[in-house]
Amino acid sequence: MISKKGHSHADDVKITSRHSELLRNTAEAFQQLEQGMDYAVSVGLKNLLEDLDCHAIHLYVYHEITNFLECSQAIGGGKGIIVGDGRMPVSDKAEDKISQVYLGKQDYTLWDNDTNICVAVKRLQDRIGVLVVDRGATKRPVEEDLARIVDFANEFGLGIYNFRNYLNSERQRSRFLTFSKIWVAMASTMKYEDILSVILRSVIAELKFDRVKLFLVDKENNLLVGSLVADVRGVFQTIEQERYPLKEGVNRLVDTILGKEVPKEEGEISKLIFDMPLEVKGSRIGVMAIENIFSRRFISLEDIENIKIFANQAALTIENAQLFRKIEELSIQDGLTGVYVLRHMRQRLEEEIARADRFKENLTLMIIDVDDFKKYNDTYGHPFGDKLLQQFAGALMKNVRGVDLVGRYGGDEFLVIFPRLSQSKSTEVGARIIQAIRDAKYTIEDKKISFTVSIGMATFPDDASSKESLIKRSDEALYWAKQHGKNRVCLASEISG
Amino acid sequence: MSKQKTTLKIWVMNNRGYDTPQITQTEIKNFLNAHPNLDVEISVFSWSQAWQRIISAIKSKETPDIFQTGTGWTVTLSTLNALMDITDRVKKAKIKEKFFPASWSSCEPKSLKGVYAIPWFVDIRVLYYRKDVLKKKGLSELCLSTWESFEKTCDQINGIEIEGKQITALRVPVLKDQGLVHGVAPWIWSSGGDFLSSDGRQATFHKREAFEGIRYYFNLIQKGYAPITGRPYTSGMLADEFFLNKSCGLFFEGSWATSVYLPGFFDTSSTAKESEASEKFGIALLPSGPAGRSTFCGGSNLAISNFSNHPDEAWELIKFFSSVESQLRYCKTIGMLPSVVEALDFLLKKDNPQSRVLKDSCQKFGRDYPQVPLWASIEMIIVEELFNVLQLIKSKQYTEARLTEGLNKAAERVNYLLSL
Repeated sequence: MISKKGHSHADDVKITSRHSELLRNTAEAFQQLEQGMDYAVSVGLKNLLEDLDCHAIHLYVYHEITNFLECSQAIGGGKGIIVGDGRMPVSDKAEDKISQVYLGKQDYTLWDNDTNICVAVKRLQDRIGVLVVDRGATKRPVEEDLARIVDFANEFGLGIYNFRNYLNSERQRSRFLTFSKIWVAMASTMKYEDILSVILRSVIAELKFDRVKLFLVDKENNLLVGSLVADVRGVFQTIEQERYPLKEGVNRLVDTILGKEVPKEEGEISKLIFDMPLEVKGSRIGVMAIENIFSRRFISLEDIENIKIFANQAALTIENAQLFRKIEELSIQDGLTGVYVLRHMRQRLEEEIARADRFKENLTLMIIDVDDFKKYNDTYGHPFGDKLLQQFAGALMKNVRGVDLVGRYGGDEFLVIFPRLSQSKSTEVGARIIQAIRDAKYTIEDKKISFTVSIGMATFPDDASSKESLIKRSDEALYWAKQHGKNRVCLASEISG
Repeated sequence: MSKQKTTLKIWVMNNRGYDTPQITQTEIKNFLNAHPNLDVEISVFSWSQAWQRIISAIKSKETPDIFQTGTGWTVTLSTLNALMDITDRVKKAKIKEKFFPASWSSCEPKSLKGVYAIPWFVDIRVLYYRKDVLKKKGLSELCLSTWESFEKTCDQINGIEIEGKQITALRVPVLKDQGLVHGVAPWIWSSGGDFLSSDGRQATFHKREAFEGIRYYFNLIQKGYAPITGRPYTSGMLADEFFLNKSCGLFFEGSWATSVYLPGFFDTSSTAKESEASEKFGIALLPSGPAGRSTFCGGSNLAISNFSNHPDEAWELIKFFSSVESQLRYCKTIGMLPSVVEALDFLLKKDNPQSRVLKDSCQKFGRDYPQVPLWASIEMIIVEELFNVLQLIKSKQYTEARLTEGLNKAAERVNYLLSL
């Protein structure tokens, strides 16, 4: 009930009816969900301002993550929205009257000779925030303004509560769609590299985090190894150089894997970082380091819940992909030398050519064989020749980069695919391999031997534009090297095509 | 058949004291008169909500065509690939030279090699003072010109009674928000320090020069020249305390307060008269420190979203907002200062000390925070530490050793963040 002190009856009726009208108008604004909550709040504040004709009104809404009452909107006499950007911590201290009101320990508080009033905004037991009204130089009795403010505070409470429910259901719907999308993407491939890419891109694109780094456990070497980083700027790259021994105290990621207690970063920054272990059947196979350090958006409990659902599936998918890769490796490896079989090399060559074409890059193919290999077979027998090939393959693997692909072409001939290697650099790489293999000492069946190799190389797109023609041009170059003294490199560009 | 209209969407923030939706709509009408095939849809957010709104929009790629961005936000939003690189457009239109350097710096962050926004309007921090307070102590504005004389003045006027009301020398921001950083920044710069190293990779606000500035600032508070007890005041409420309640003698605030509390100040008509308030309140440059004078130049930029389907039309609207006519109209209405030199000169053409202070603050002494992508998060750490210092003062546990320790810890945290 509004106090009627200081007014005539006719005035009272007019004011009360206007008050009801403004309240109704506020309630209607809160029903227009599609307009957004800001709109409804600004309508409500304007209505309250008109009702009270006061100096200023601030609406503070409680934010759980920060434990602050944050100024949502504010409005000032006759000047429209003035918007304060302030925030106040919520504390239990009795002298913090605004907190007391918010926490429900008192219904309202007054200060500065009753010019300021603070009233709780809530819906039944759900506390939402407070309305702070600076009445200015009004002569109206405080009880009257208080009653009007309480009416509006109730309207705000109900309206914001309903809005939140609406937004919550919208979020649930969008969450369902997000996860459906992610599961479909994960199920679309079994290829290990693609799976990792889908997982990281999902964290950025679907779960809306700024950056994620994926680390996986290397059980054989007892290490935590960086796998990939992806971020909202579009960065997507390997972080293989980040390797940490799995020993307590090395860093927070390792401690997360070991299940040790990880000290949290101090202050609000801790709400921008979250490390999510990837677990399969109780064993931690890796960790995702998730950060919102650019956007400064706090990682909420809901976010964490989403990450957990996602991580359970991601961990399982990664482990399946790792198993699949092992099986695949077994079927694509040459049983004698451990390098890839020709079928796989052909397939990879086609993929690498397509990739080089797409990114306008070079790619070089090498065919390499042991000079006079037949002599070793004839002199020492085939088992000796097999061991020589094993050592040759090992030496070759040692002398190429991690991204290069080594395979067996047949007999003593091997193929190497060098992504992003240009024609101009090929001679240098070929010469280095020739020298490394020639200078190495090999011991086979107690015999110390050394041997030389010949190399033919052709580069895409300079020397050939297809898989078959690239193999052909490399083979021709090898033939030329053999014809011209062996123990040498020949580039396809050096001979007529 | 008539061609269907293109609708541009623009997000702007509320200007304190003004009905922004209405004012912006009115200004845009001038643009639409010349572009009948366009419509503009305006959404207005409060500053406290705008950042999260923009971030959510970017992440879902559902953005407006044009964003208003705080000067400190532009570099982060560009880093997040949210803003269009408009370097070529700017070159072609030859408009960079129209703006004064302090307003331009955040639009072309060194770390990004490109132009990502155009300055819209500027808010420069100045020192407001009560003429009656200085007069009572027989002081002139000169007493505010150096650190030394400023502190002496605070000491002289603190606690004096005017019209039966005891005043404090100063009021400073005490809420746990970026107002705290605005508060200390000019002192850090004036003593030769900065928040970060020039390459943006290391914290430097704990190093000697910056430390001296921070120490000076907190010493003023610790000596009781600026009260930190009582209820928390938002920036607007603090201005009320100074201009309306007259509870203090000196007050650092953005230039926005000039038009709100000194009505008619920006009236450029020939018949304009000084308002009554202008006779009571003066505007001074921030005091000069060991390394000279500096002040914080903030404000807003306009940027085209990278996800806009109408970048050409958006660019036309942005160019319109940077025209002298629009700058004058809009800035006069919302009480901000123009970023275009010609408009600024016109608006401050009156030959009076206050206008000179505002102009010099913009053109000679204004500077912005480090333009690094992680500034938003770095600022959060600094805010936390500055707030801690205020709590130490409040509980009478403040010492220089505690200040050093706190700043060192905060610097460690910032360096950790920069290393991620």
